Amino acid sequence: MNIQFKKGALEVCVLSQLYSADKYGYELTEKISTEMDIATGTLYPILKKLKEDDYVTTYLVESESGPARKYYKLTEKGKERRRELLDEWNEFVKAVERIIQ
Amino acid sequence: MEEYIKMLSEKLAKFSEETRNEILEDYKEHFQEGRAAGIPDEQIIADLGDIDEMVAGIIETPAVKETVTPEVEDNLLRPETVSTAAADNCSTIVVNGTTPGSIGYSAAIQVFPSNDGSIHAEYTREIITENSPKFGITVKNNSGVYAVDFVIEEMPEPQSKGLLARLFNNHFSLGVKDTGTIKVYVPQNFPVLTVKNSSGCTAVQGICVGSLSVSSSSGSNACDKIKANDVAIASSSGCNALSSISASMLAVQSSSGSSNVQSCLANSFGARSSSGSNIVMNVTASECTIISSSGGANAENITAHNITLTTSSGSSHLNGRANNINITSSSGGVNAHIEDHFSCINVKSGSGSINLSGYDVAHSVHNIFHGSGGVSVQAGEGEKLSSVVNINCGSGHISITE
Repeated sequence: MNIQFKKGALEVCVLSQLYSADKYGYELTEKISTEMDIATGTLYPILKKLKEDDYVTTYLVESESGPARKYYKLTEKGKERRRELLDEWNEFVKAVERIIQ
Repeated sequence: MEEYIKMLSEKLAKFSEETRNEILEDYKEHFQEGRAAGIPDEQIIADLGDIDEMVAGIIETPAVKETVTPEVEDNLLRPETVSTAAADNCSTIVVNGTTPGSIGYSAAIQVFPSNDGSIHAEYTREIITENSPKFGITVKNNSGVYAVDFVIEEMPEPQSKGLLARLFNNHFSLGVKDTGTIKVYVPQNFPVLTVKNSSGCTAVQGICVGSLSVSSSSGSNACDKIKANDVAIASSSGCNALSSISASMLAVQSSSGSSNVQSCLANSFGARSSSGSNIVMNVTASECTIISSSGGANAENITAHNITLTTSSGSSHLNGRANNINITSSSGGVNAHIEDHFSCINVKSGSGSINLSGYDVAHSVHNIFHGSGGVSVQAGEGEKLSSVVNINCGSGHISITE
């Protein structure tokens, strides 16, 4: 799959996952990789970029089982970004459906 | 995992240290979580996928440090420039209480503005006996300089009984019973005014001048209600007291005496003292520099673009607001309450403790605290220590409260 296309799709997936609840990195990769065949490593650069663009913020939570977990939280700007990407995605899906039918 | 992380680190070599560390930390956490879930490293590595593909996805945004609006600077009141005019072809007035040669007076000198624009001086003595030396004051126009000199017109025999003026090691000094005051009246808006005294106290009040210099050796200096372009006040063992001064450059210096500065406005303000302490209150300046070696520095209600507070063994106390704050203390403690609008704070203390409180860290870029005597940081109510905070503490206790 085209890397840029996949990245765009992954971005909306990550934003939507965070929309329901704050999650830590591993948890996110688990959620997404169970549904989709992706290299989990590719999510980290996306998370980093989302943070740089102020779509998400991070905070550390001490974990009982191991090292502190870095949680990602959606910002207001991130919520707007998710809305935009969802609209684009829906337009795209509708267009594809019209074409392939 | 270790091997994988090492390889990843090499692949990330072209990125900034910050980016590299962030990705490496994310991967380490990922491995730990995977292991905790019972997944073997090989499987985790396989799931992570192609490193090169991941690396290709890293987009580095150049680190743009948010420029803090220099609100402090914009709100600063600016000292007005004093326009000066020379009179009688003279641009300088020198009031000299230190006599040429080895004789020094202890009389007090007071400088006031004159009503008629002329320079004149008077000497009032509280007690005059027949053995008192007679003083005269001369005002000379000497090639562009008005020299206000105090001359002994007649001096009694030093050994005379009941002499109120005595000769000590060739230093002539008025006796305690013969205290007098020399009052000098100078025109306003004169370009240069220099006042020198030895052991007597010096006071300058209500003067508007281009450049003012006041110096004494063991006497104290007091300057009040001064408007000038440059003001330099210096005393070796005496104290300095400054109040209500507006100047572009304001410098106060003392070696063993203390300096007390209140309600001053300057572009550049500097207070230096070696063993005496500096007490500075209600000062607004673009640059505010306070340096004490063994004396403490107490700075209260300072507003400046840059504040520099340096002490060696004395303690530092600061309450103020600025864009950039540098506090350095070698063995003395640092206590600072800093209000909003700053971009950079650097605090260093060798062995003294550091207490910082009450500031809005939302705007800060760097906070570097260092001390072996313990560090305590307390953010203002409702504020978060969210920006870059580096605390380097040798052996003391660190306490951070939001």
